[in-house]
Amino acid sequence: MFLDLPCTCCKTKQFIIITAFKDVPGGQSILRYNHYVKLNRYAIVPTACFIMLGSLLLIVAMWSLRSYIDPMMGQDTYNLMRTIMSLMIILFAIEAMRCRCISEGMLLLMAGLSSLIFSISESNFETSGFGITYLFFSAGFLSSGYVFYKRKQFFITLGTIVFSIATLLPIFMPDHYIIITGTGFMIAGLIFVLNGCYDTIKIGWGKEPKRYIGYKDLCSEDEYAHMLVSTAGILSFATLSLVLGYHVLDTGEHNVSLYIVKLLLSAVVISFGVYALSRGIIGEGLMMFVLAISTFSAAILSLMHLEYPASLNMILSVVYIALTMEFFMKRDVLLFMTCLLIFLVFFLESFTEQAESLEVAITILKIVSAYSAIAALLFFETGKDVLPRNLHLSKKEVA
Amino acid sequence: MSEEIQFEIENVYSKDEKVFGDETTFLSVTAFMLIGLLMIWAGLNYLNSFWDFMEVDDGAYDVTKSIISAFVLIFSIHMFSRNLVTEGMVVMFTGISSLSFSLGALLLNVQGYEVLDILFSIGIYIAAILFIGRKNYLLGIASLSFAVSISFAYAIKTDGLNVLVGAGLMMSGLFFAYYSLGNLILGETGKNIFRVTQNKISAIAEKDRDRPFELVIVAGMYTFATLTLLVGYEFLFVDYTSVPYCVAEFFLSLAVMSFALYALVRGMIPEGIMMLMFGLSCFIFATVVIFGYTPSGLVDIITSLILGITGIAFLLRKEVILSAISILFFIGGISEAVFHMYVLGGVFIFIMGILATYYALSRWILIETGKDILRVI
Repeated sequence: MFLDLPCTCCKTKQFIIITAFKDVPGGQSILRYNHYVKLNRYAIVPTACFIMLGSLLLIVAMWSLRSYIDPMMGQDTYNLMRTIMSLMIILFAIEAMRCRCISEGMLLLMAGLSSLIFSISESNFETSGFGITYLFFSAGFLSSGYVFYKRKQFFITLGTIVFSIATLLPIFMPDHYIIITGTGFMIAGLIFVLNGCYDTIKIGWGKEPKRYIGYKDLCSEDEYAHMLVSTAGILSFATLSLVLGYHVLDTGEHNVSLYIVKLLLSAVVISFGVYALSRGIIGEGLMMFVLAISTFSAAILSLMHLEYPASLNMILSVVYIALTMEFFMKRDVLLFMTCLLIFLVFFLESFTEQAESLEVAITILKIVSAYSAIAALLFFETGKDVLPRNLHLSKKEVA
Repeated sequence: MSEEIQFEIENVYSKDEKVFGDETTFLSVTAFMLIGLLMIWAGLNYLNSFWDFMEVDDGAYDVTKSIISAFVLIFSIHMFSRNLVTEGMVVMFTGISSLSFSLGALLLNVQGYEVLDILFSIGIYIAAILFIGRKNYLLGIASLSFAVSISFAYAIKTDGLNVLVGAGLMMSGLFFAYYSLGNLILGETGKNIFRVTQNKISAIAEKDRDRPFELVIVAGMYTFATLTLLVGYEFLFVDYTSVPYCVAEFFLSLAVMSFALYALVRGMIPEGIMMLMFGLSCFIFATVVIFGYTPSGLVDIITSLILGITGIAFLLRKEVILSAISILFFIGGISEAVFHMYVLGGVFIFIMGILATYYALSRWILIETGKDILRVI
């Protein structure tokens, strides 16, 4: 019904429409959504996230197996589709991490990022992706798979293991690249899509997917920020450092694929750095942010065939003096060593070519850091502590 | 500061909040002022192309229009965030239509896609009727003249088309500008010099309102329905790889995906997945064609299978229309992508669009008027 009410002040007519509260049999309002998922936004993770990941893997599998089956697309179409899907998956990875699903978020982030690296390399620079990156990423896949296994999510565990194997094997068996990647991604993609569809039907049925409660779900916002930075953040940082180290150890030549990897990985590390800084995790945040800014600039300049100014790194090295002192006072051995070495590399590379050999030391340290990040993830997700006591990344978050 | 002055300041602010300076008035002023500006600018250009009374470079016109349209779209998001669904839809449709025309011309050198405007005009007609139903005649007439100018003008196709469209846009732009300026003066001074009605949204008791649901099921579902009708129409009647069509599809699918992500974040999972997968499929298709590549049917197959699953999920909830929408796409998508039966696929997708329009419309009218005219099952 309509009520004509004159405004008390300006005397203009105000028309207020008052609608009756509509009810349907059973006492539920048709103006209300009666099927909200009780798990709220967490429900995105087992449904939409896995459907998207599975869809991407199916597309990649179809293309890989093009010698055997009709992929229904050309090379350019495939690259564009893969790029769009990868970007969507990275978007969902961010959402998963917001929902405190670090393992699922890491799986999505690594999968999306590696796929994006390959599709951008192929479509824009006509080079194949930087294969060794998959080796580093698969560490993240396998640790997520282990967490799923400990949660008794066997179906997703199977998908993740198949995905990891299909990712890892071609590095060692390049002759069978097509068949291994194609078949593996097809199986893993189907598993992920079926898992997402199963949970969607469950939601339609009125039953909800299970939520697995771990340490990360019981802590405060600030503590969770520490956990996220010390797991996914440090792992991305370590992967970036490993890629840099590999470059120095391998050839050190101009490699377009490598620069794309550096560009995208450093963009991710910058994001984690900014997140850490915004949450008051200044030391770790600054360490990641400054290195990533340097790598990001270097990658862009290299892609544009311009020379990176070494003096910039010398200026940035000042930050690492302070960070070295901070981590020394915190008695954080790993981060202290990392910052000290980064300082030495940044400072010395203006004076001597040999300074880059220090990257080797950083690489070794980063392998340990990556292990620490994965161990921290396992601890936060499953409660199982597999890390020697003095190697914990930050005393604050593990406490 | 003395207590007396402090009291007066508080009194003034509380009076302002209650009577003039509420969110609705603020949005009326800014968003409708921008729409008015956009329409006057577009109307002037249309009239100029016939009479040539001013010198405007085509590029400059399109850049200006793109910038204003982008701001209009931003304001539509803000309106939706304040649950002004009907107003937001008018603003969003205007922004998408205008942006697809101007960016298409600017970046791809293609004409805008008129069918999109005709489809949008249906929503704007309904919004105009609902505004008039609220007795907000000025906003109603402004929307109505806009809808008329973008629908009938294209349907008539006479030599004087530009004059007709230009005059219509000009008139509606002036109405929108008048309305917003009137609200500006009323909001700032409390004096209703322009004799405008303050815009009030339907006053369903606050406790009974489900804002995310309203947004997803009305604005989201209606945008989804428009995209579906557009795709179905293209499959049935026109070349579905034409670039102007794909520019329109690109922007519309982007809007549908945004609503889908919102639905997912708010815990409306099957609806969100349905809209996301369909929007993503259209988005990929449009992008591939815009880049000059051949589109693939693979994404359509994957999307169809997943929409088949959401169809089952809706069926389990006994939501027949939503289930039918999903299952129709499942059949249409498979017949189009696997068996290459484009006409059959188009028929199914078009029917799906009509059902989605009916569903969104029924909820929209119910929320605005309280009358359950169009029953849904």
